[in-house]
Amino acid sequence: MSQQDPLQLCKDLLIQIDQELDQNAESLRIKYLGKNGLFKNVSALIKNVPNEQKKAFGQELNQLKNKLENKIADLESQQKQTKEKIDLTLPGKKHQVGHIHPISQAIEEISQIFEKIGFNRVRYPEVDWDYYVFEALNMPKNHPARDEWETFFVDTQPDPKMGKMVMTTHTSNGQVREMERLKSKPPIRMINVARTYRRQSDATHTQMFHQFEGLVIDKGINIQHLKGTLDYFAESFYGPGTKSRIRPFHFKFTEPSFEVDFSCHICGGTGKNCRFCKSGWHEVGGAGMVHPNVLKAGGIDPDIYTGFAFGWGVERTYTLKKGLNIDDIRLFYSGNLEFLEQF
Amino acid sequence: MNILIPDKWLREHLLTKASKNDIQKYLSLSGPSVEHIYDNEVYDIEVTTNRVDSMSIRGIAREAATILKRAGIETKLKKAKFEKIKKHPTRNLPLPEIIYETEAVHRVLAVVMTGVKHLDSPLEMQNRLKAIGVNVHEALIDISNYITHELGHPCHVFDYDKIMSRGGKIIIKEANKGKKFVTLDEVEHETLGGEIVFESESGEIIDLPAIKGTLNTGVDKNTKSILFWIESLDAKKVRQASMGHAIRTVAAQLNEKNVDPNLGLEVMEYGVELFSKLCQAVVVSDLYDYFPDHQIPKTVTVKLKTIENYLGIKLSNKEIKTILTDLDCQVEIGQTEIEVTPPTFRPDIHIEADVVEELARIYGYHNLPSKLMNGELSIHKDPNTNYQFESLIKHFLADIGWQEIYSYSLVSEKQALDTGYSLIDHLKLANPLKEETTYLRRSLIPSLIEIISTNPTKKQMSVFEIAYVYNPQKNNLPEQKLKLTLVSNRDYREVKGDLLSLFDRLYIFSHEQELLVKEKIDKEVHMPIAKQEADLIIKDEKNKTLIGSLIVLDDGHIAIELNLQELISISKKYPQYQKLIKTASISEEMTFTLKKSTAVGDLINAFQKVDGRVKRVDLLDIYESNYSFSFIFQDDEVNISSEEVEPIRQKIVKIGQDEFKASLVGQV
Repeated sequence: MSQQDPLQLCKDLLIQIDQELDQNAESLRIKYLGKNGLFKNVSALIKNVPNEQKKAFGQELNQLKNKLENKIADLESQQKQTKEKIDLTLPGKKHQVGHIHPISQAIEEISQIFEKIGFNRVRYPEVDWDYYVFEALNMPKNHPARDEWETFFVDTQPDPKMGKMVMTTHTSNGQVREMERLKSKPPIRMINVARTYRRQSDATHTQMFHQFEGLVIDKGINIQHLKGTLDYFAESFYGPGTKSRIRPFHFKFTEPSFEVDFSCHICGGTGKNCRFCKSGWHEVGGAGMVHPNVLKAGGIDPDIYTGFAFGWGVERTYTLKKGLNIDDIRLFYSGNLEFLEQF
Repeated sequence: MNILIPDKWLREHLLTKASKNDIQKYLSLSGPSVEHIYDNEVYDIEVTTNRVDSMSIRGIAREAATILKRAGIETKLKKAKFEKIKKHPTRNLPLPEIIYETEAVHRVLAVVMTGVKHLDSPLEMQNRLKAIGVNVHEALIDISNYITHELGHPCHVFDYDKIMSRGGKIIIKEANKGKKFVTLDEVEHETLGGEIVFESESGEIIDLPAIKGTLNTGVDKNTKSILFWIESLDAKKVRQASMGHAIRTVAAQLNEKNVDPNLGLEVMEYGVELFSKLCQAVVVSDLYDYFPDHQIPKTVTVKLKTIENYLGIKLSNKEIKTILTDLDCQVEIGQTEIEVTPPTFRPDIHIEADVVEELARIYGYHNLPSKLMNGELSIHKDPNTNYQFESLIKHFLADIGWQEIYSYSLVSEKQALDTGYSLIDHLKLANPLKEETTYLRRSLIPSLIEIISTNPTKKQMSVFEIAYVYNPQKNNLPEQKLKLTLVSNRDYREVKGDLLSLFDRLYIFSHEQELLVKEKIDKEVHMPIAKQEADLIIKDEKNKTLIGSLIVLDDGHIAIELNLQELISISKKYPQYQKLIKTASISEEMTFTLKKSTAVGDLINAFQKVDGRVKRVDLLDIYESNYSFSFIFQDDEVNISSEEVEPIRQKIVKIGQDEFKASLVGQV
C-alpha cells in the first residue's frame, strides 16, 4: 500500500463504487464506511501525502465520501420502498382481561380514602344478633324506630340474651363489636364495609346492598370533626367543589343525628321532574354523634369520650359519581357481563 | 313518616315573609326535611319518628317559626284560639259510663252532640283533604280527619245511639284472645290478646281504640247523635296492636309515638266548633275529661362544657337561652350548668345530648366549622383477613381474564340443594321477599354457575367472587367464612393454570410449599351437580393445609372454591430468593404414548424425582395418546454435558415404562 499513490487509490475507489455489485445499503456501509472500511484505510494515508498535495487529496476524499454516502442513501430509500409494509389500519388484538366489579372498585377507593386519615378497615358478621343490630344501638324491642329497617329474620331459635338472628340491616352492628374488640379502649377509627340486607326491591333498592360505616371515638371528638371527615370524603371521592349538606335527622343510636346529602347529578341539582332525587339532593346516608347509651353498651364512659359515626350505602354513594349514569342499582347484582365488562 | 302540608293551610298558623323555597331550604337544614313541593303548593315533609309533635300543620308551623326566625326572616307563630265547650242550656243527654280495667289509659275526653245534619264539607276543606291524600266523605266523617291533620292528635266519632243501645257502657280493657270484631272498612279481625279494646256491657268489642273504629259503633247516614271522643293510650300497647293486626292507620302511626295528651283539649274544642258549624250539632253533655296521669316533662341538666364538647365552639349564654326559649323550653342558666325543662309535647328531649342537638340544629350545622380530628391512631388491625391480599388477588385474577361477580348471598331451594347440603343444614329467612332468595348460601358455586348460564353469548367465561358462606352452628350465629370461588366454562388445564399463576403471584411455591390435588373417590363426591371433586391441599415441610376444593361439574365447567383465610395464611408478600445458577443447561423434548388411565401429574412428579439434575419437566403438547414433555437438565456446579444427561434420560424412559407403561416415541 505504501508504494501506491494515495490520490490514485482514491480515484480507483471512486470507480470501484460505480461498479459495485453488492446493492445492499447496510453491507456497503460496513464495507466502505465501517471502522475498518475502505474509505477509512484510504483517508488514513493522508499522513503519507506531501504537504503541497494534501489539499488536493483532501478534496478528493470529500468527493469520495459524498459519493459513498449518496449512493448508500439512494440504496436505502430504494430498499425502504420495496420492503413489505404493515397496514396500520388493521384492528388491534386485545388481551382477554377480566374486570374488578364496580362495587369492589368503590369499596377499594372508599377504604383508601379513609385509611389515609387513620381509619382501620374491619369486617363483622353479616348475620348477627338483634342485640348488635338494634338493642345495643339504643333501639329497644318493638320500638317504632325499627320500622325504618325492613328487616329479614333468620328462621331459627332466638338467643335468650342476644335475641333474634337477623340479616344485618346496616353496618352499625360493627359499632359495639368494634368497641368490644378493642376492649373498650379508644382511640377507635373504624371503617366497616359489609353486605347488608333489607326487605325491599326497586330501581334504587336491592335486597342486598353494601354499606360502609365509620366510627371515631376519642376524647374531644365533636361535630366539627364529623363535618371535616364528611367534607374530606366528598372532596376525595367526588372531586373538588362537591356540594354537600348536613341536615338534622333522627337515629336512636346517635344524638345529634344527621342526614348527609350530596347534590344530584342526574337533574343537575334542580330536582325538576327527577325521579331519582329529592329536590336536587341525594340522601347518601346517616351520621351523628354516638349516643351515650351506645358508648355504654360498648363499655366506654360517655363522660370521658365522645365519638361520631356514619353509615352510607356503597351503591348509592358510588352511583352519584358524575357521568357514571347508572339509574338502576339492580344491575350490580344481575351478573350481566355486558354491564360488568364496562367497568 | 312523611306528611303533606299545603302552604296556605300552613300560613293559617304562621305569619312569615318566607317564600316557599325559603321554607323548604331552612326547614330542611335545621328541622324536618322538605323533600318535594307538589304543584307549587303542597310540601312533602319527612318527620322523624321521635318528633310526633311535628306531624301536623300546627307542629310544622311551630318548627318553622323558630327556624325561619333564626334564618333572619320575619316570622311569627299565630296563636291557636278555640272556644270553650259550652253545653246547650236546656238539652241533655247522658254520657256513657266509662269503666277502666287497665292502667294503660293516659287521658280520655268525650262529649255528646246531637241534631247532626248530614252535609258536605265546605269546598276548601274538601280540597285540602284531597291535597293531603285523604278521601272526602261528608262533614261528619271529614272533620276528624281534618283536625287530626291540622293539630296532630287523632280523635274518633261514635254513633251515640249505637253505644247507648248496647247498654251505655264503655269498658276499657285488655282483650282476651280470639274475639271477633269488624272494623269500619268491614274487615273481620280476631283479638290477639293483650291489646286494648273497648267492650260493651255484654262483652261485644265496640272499638279498637287509637287505631280504628268498629262497624257496630261507627257513624252512618242515619246517625243523629254522636259521641265525640279522644283517647290517649300507652304507646307501646298501641304499636303492639297495630303491628299485630297489620292495621297501620294514620291514627295508629301517631298514637304509637306518644302524642302529647295535653293536646287533647284543643282538639276537642276545635272538633266541637266544627261539628257545630258544619253539621249543626249541639253539645248536650258536659265535657268528660279523665286525665289521671299528667306526665310532667323532666328537667334536664346540661353542663355548659358538654355543649362546647359536642359543638367545638362556645355558645354564649344568651344564645343558648334564646334558642331553647324559642323551642318552648324553660331555661335556667347557672355558672357551669343549665336546667332545661322541655314543653310537654317534646318528650324526646330527655338527656344532655338531646339538648345539644336542639342547640346545634337551630344554631345551624351549616354554621359550624369543619375540620379533621388530630390525636392518637388505632393500630389494632382486623385479625380475620388481609385487605391488601384480597385486593391483590382480585386484581390479579381480573388482569388474567377473570370477571369479578357480586351475587346475592340468598339463594333458591334448588341452589341450596346443589351444594350437597340438605335444606335443614341451611339457614333460611323467616320472611323472604322472593322464593329465589330464601336460603343463606353455603357455597358460591351455584350462584356463579347461574351467572354463566345467564350470559349465553359468552363462549368463554370465567367468573369469580369473594363473599361469605354461612354454615349453621348450634345455638350460635352461623360460621361466616370468606370464600374465593372461581367458576369457568374453559378447559381444565387453562383454569388450573390460572390458579397456579395466582399461587405464583402470591409466592406460595417460592416458599417451599406444594399443591396437592387429592381427588375424592366417587362416593365421597359431595355436590349432586359434580362429576369429580378434589381437595386442594398445600403441603410444606411440616403441615398440610386444606385450602379448598376443585370440582368438575356435570356440564364440564370447572369450579374452585378456596377458603380465603387459609389461602392468605399461606400467601407471602415476597419470594424466597433462589441463588442464580450460572452453569449452562440442556433442554430436550421427549414424547411418550400413554395409557388412558395414566395420571400425567404423577408421571411428571416421577420424572422430576429421577435425578437432582432434572430441573424442570413441562407438558408441552397432547396429540391423541401422545404426550410431549420438555426437560431441562442442569447441574448447579458445572456445565452439564450431553454424556452426563444420557443416563438420566435412560432412567426417565425406564421409569416411564416400568411404572406408568409409558412408551417412548422414537429413540433416546
